[in-house]
Amino acid sequence: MSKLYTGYQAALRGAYEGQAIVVGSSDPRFDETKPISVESLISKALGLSLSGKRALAVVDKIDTRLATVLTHTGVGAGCVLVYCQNTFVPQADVAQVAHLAHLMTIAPSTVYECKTYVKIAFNLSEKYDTPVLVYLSEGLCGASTSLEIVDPKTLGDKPYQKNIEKYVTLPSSVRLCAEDRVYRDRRMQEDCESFPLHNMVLRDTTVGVVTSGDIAVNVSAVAPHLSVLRLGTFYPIPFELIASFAAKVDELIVIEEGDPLLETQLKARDIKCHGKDLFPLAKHYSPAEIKERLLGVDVPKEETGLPLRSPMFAPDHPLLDVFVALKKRGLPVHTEVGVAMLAAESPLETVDTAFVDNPVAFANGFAVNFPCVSVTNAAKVDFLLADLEGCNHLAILWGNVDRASKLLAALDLPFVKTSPAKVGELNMDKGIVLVDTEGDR
Amino acid sequence: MSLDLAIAYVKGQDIAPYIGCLDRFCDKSGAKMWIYDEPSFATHGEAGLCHVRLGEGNTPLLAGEAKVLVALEELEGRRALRYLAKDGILVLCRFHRLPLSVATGTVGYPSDTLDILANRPLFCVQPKEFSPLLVCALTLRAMGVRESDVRGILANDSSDAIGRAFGKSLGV
Repeated sequence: MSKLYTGYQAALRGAYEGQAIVVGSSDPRFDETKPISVESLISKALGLSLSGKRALAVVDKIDTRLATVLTHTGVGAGCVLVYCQNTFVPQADVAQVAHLAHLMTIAPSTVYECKTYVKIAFNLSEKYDTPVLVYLSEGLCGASTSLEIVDPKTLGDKPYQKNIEKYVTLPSSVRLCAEDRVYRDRRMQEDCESFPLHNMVLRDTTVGVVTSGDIAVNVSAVAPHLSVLRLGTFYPIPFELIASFAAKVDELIVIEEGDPLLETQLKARDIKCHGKDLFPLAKHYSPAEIKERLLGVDVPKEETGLPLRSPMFAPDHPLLDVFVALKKRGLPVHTEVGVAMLAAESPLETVDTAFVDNPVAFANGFAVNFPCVSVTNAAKVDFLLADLEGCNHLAILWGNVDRASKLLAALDLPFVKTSPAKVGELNMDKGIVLVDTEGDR
Repeated sequence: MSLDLAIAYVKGQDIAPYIGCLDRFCDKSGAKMWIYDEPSFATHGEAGLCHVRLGEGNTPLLAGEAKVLVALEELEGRRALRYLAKDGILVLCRFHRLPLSVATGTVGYPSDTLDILANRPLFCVQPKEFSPLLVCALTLRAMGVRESDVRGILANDSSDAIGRAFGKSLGV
């Protein structure tokens, strides 16, 4: 039996077939109704894993501190984090974090691999006692294909074992964990050379390309005659495999988005290669870009002078009324990454910033010097309470506001509840406004 | 064998019926299908391009490779024209959804689209006549199925027949 799956759905299917529980997603592109902080999500996944059940969490960011804690303590049953690429974050940034935190990171290059790699990731996680990050590029998140689906295997739970030396971070334990991690890293590094995740294809040996993820597929599409070594991991890196590939080709080109992480490491090991001398530093490498840079071929461009189209809200979107009212106020508006960002585009042009998780805290800082407004999804209210308590600006929480109104009332925090159409009638410069976009408009 | 099909549209136009129709026929024919549509928060207004690969492979669409370009909006058909192969078929729905800059009078909606497309294999369709089945039929034509055969298949109006024709054309 087959069914159409996107890369993201395929990864979740892999979790199901691998007998894992998906604890949730912090990525607003896939689940904007129930935002949850990355820390909570990863803690939940880790807790489930230590209790003996395989766990998977979809994260929208991964920072070095959090990743380092994870790799120090280890896991119980397999623990996999799926990271879906965001336009702002190039591939190399995730690879940098993986290197700094010694976090095993694997990168599928096709939708089919999204499923199989997640299953492999659980096995690797259990084998090396470490969480594994599965990196899905933006291209994979948007691609879909029909996949053969299989029933999950029945796996027994791993028995829970109390282990304070490992899981209670006393100074003496941390030292032991650090030693364990060094030993484990060495093992991972040695084994990674023969991981079945890498794929070397030798064709014309004048030029060989080393890359990873779906860039490898793009390279094969635009230059099918070139030899390609596709790395299945960002960390650890199979240096011996790359060296053997480099010895087989006359010229080695490293293609990686963002900073030249792999290129620098190869050069440090005396493996001669090209990289950022051919490809720009800060750019997404589309197939057309790769073709132009790799083969020096001009690719037909879009006809110039055609009217452009900006993304916008659907005419019946409840936030439209909110932002029309805010435009009249003329104050800077701060919001989160999500659908509200669309108000930054013409004709609304109302949003000033949209890059922090907690726009209320951001606006609290901004409002010390300049009056402003924050617009946040009310589903986040649990994480915003401390900042709402000291709110010094107009904080608008939208969505289903039932829970927010109960929590604010319980804390005796004053608020106004209104509908999107009536936001324009509000006569206040600061305070909390709950805009119920779920009710009748 | 595989065939690349591109669907140019404006976010907010529903492409699911076209994808669903092609998927159903691919399922019946045993052919594989791969789709890429760039993820976006926008549900409205933005230009969209969906790449559908019928047959083997999961490589991205390159300029000049699409055998069929289905444009659900006239301006978007023109914008995505670079993806159409020289001998490819353009199925153009003569529907106009005005971009904001046109609606506000800043620029005009291009009126010379048909002149520019004069030398290309083109099927112009009025919005009312536009349907997923028509797209499938024209895709079969692009795959080299004879017009009389396509007409015969459609006359039966049997999705099984279209599915089999897809499979045959893709060598499944």
